[in-house]
Amino acid sequence: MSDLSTTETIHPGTAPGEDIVIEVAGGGDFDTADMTLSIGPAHPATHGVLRIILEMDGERVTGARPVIGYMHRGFEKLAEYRDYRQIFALVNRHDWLSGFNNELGAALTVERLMEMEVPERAQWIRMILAEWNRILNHLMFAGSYALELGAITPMFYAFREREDIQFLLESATGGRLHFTYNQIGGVKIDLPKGFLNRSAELSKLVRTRLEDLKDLLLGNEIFLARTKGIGPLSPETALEFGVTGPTLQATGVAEDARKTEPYLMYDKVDFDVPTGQNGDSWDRFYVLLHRIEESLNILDQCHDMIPAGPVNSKLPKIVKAHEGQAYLRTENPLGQLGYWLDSDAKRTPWRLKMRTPSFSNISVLPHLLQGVLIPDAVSILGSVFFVVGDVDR
Amino acid sequence: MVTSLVRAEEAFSNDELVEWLRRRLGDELLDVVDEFETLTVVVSPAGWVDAHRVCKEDDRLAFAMFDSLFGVDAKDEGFDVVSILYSVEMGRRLLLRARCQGGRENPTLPTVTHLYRGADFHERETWDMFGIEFEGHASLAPRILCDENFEGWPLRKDFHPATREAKPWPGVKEPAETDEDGNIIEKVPGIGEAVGPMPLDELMAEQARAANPELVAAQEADDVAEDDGGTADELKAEAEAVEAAALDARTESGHVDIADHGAGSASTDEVLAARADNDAVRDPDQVRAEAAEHRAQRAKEIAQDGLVTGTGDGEAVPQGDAEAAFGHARKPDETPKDLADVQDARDRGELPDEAADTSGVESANEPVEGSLQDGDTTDFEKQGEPDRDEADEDDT
Repeated sequence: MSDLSTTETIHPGTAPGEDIVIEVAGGGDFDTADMTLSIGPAHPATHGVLRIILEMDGERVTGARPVIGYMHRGFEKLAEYRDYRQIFALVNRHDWLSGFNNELGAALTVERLMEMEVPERAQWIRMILAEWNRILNHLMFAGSYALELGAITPMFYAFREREDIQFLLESATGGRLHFTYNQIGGVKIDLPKGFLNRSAELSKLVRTRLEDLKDLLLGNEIFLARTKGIGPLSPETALEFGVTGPTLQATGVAEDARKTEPYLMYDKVDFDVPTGQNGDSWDRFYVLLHRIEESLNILDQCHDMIPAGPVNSKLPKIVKAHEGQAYLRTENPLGQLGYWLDSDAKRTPWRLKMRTPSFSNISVLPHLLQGVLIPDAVSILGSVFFVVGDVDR
Repeated sequence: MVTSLVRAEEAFSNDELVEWLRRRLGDELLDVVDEFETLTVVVSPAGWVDAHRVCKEDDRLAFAMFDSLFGVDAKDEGFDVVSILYSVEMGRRLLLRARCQGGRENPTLPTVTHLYRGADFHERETWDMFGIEFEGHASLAPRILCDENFEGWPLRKDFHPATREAKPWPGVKEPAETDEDGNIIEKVPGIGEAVGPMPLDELMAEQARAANPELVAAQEADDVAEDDGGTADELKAEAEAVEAAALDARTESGHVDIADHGAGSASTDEVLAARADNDAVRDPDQVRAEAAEHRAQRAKEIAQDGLVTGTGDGEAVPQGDAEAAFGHARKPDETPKDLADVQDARDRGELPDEAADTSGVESANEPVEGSLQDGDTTDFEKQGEPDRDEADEDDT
């Protein structure tokens, strides 16, 4: 063994045998200066215009403060000035990756306050489209999360499937992002001819291609190093902050509104709620991918079970909900979407509160980012799945 | 470890839950609302924190999940705050509701952030939207969603969106238009039906008649025929006869009696011409020609724009089209310059000739420019106004 400080040449130009002094301050504890680092509002890791002010001690985050509201457009105020039927054009925009699911929650809430029965076929159609929309959303995050960690290829894989699915949904709804396909009492029109066949084929295709995506990422050493054990979240903390969706399920809580409070026909199909164990970034991503599989399982059952019949109900000229309040939650791709509707039996809501999953998911960030390194902060930001439009509403 | 629905069998029914809470909160529990599968427990502001503490710490309730918290406008009584709690283990949900102290002026409520850390963002949002102060909250400012320089509390009912403040909507276009008490005005005008006095509509009708009397008369005759059940041809002939008689009478009288022709055909032209006659400086023929040309052009546009169809088949016209055609006509507070001139001239018509002095020059010029501007503004508003709220969120 040689003693580096006395015998080794450590850079050219130093003659052998010369004494070289290497100073190591405090056994590796470098002096660091406190610093404030502002990420965003325009940053690729934030999916929109989220700004996070990080208090840094060297490379380590000592405090994080999300600054939100850049995309606030006052949805709740606008809804108070609109007919119940006009709300659908508002609600499918805040979370632009899950337009159909956003509409669905609003439709179900208004229908509950109107005590309206929705035709069975309409409910199955809603389920099919909601699950396809969920897959669209999850593929987006599966691709973009890998991109944030430096892997470009998964993004292309994810978007290849997304394109096919969007084409399918466009054939039924006419929209690619903002479907506006839900109505009070059903859906706008019946599915086009051959939709179910195409949907079943696409389901098979996506299932096989999903394996490619998994092969690319789940065994990848770099991916594992960037995600395993990063940003662990305990179930108690997650619940206290109201975190839901894949982020909550990754902590081991199998909480899914489709399972615990079934709406539509979710109690008639068989599916699992994937869970993680540690609530770290890897678990969150793992749960996300497995949610795609479960959605495909639901879809396959829907294709077999959907009955014939009417798809919407006749509405009065003036739509009025009963007086009263109702809260209803649905499982949005990113978590629990809740609508609290207060109606005074007029033509517009007295108050429509939208509880969005991303807003609550974001609120846990200061807790999660405490004490992590900067590159891990990006890994955490990407894996606590949120859309900034969904945060700001 | 928390597991979903693991204690679902132990979960209370609604009555049991309320009874359990009542035993712990006593008089602080004011009311229970159980409707639409939503259980709401109303507590007093003093019991607000206690209610949350019981819900969280009592093992038989185990409301571990903080769902959300938000404000509601309670009109004169001030503001309410609702919080939603959920028990993952039991699969139960509870809504707690309390009225803030301090009325509308200074609404306050104690914070629950020390019990549920997730309440932090929600209380900040509620302060931002309603101005409700949460006593004990670390820092409600800066505004979480609104711009930091924003003034006012947007979700209060006495706050109106900027678009409505800047320009009140014509008629009851927006379904939620409210009166002073916050009640929605229920009048629903039919398509083409005036909400109040609509001078510009009448003017447009006059101009349409002037530009193409046969077409308009035929159209009106058809409408009347539909309403009354008479045959269209009979009524058309009748209308033509009336029109001809009126024309004859006017020609015979040999002069333009402004006051009599307020509601008659082509009155604006005649008014302008009459004014120009009194004006020594300006060439009357030129003024008359200009005005007539513009009127004809305008009337043609109006006729194409849907005035003629609008008089007839009411509700069959889609709402959007009808608004596009009549949007500018329903602006109640904007008196059209043309009609103002007509009225002006009517007043002046009874005065001696000297009264129509040099101001006549300006007035005679005005309608041409003024009405062009009217048209332009209307087009601009049609394109710009209605969609401003739902602007571009399309980007991913």
